[in-house]
Amino acid sequence: MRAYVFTDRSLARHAGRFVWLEIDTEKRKNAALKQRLGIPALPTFFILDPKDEHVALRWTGGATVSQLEKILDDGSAAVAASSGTPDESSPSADADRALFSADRLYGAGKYAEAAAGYQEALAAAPGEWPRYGRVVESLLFALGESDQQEACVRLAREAWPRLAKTPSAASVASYGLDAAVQLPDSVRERSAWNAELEQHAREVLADGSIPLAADDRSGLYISLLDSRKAAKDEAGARKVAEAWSAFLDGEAAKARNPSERTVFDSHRVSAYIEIGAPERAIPMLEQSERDFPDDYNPPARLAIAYRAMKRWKDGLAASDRALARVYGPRELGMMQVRADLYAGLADTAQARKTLEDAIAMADSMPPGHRSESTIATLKKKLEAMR
Amino acid sequence: MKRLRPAPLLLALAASAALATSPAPGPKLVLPFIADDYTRALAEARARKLPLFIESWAPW
Repeated sequence: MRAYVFTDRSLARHAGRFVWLEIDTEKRKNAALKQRLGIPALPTFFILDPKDEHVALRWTGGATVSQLEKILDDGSAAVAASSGTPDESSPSADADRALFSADRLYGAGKYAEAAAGYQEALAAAPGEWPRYGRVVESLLFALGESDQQEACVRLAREAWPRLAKTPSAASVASYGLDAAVQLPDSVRERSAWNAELEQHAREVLADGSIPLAADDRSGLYISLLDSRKAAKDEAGARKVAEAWSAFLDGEAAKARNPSERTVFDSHRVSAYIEIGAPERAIPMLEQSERDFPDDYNPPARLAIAYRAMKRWKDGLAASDRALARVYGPRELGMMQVRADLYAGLADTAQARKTLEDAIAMADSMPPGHRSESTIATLKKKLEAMR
Repeated sequence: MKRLRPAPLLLALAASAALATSPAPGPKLVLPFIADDYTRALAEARARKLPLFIESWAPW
């Protein structure tokens, strides 16, 4: 978003409509705000009513410029509505009222209630409601977060004909497919739905004319990969991973500057590891480290690539450089990789100490940064080394 | 919108939830973002009677 969207000059005309705040969630000073906002994934955008600080609208994930502009319009309207100035003469007044209420619940992390509100909004909406795509995406997310996977699948299938050629297409296909993969075997239609939603995903990926953010396309490859793995289709998974890797290489090749190119580094490392070629990440990451010598990401990713290559000492050297630059909870992930590198060298004592240090660090993190699931993962890993 | 569900371990370790953002200097953002100062941004929003837009991000 920062490399491709927030640099787009067409957004300048919105500058005076909001006060704009960016928060680096890894910084300790932002931990309390991170906890208060309940950020489910990154990036997440919020539009707050400054009067009482309630979240009028929240959007999680990337967006194209045009999607962002719709979010800004909807957020502005939601804040105006909470001030008692909704446009009651609009043919979509009932739907809009239900939507603003649902957005507020969604912003507060009340997903089951928000899902019901979005469903009410969709039921009240006129035929060509311009907010349809945005609402369907928010509803799919709310259903997923409230463990209503079957409803998520049904909605993704129902919305597909209307959204198949729109910027929402990737999210609809992806959410639907992710939910289908999680359905229990007892759901009779599971296989048929999975096949149908995979087909939707493939249609999106094959259609270059749909205006999509690159991370939406990349995310769709990940959904397909997960689906093929869940089906235990090794050859199919590899085929998807190869296509994903080629897509990312192509996007990176189009980058106009190093900032745009490094956007793809993380997924490229994953894709290369998936296809069994982690060594392909090395020149790319070395270049990124030269371009951005203060950034901890290139050496952290090098450590991951070297781990996959079993080049333990090179991995530790990269890990040293990453740890010298890192701040915030990301350090815990790096320490897990570091423990693996020591374990690869058969240095169990150092591997254990690294994990013990990571647990102590995780335990001392402030609310908003402290993660019980991370602590549990670290403890499990340490236990496995006894 | 996307990349929210839990990623497999391999992906979780190597990739971020969304495609990453570099903290390094790059092309200039076109919107006048206040960095990491909620109190100041909120006060400004109240004074100017404008909604507050927040982008939460991470360098990875």
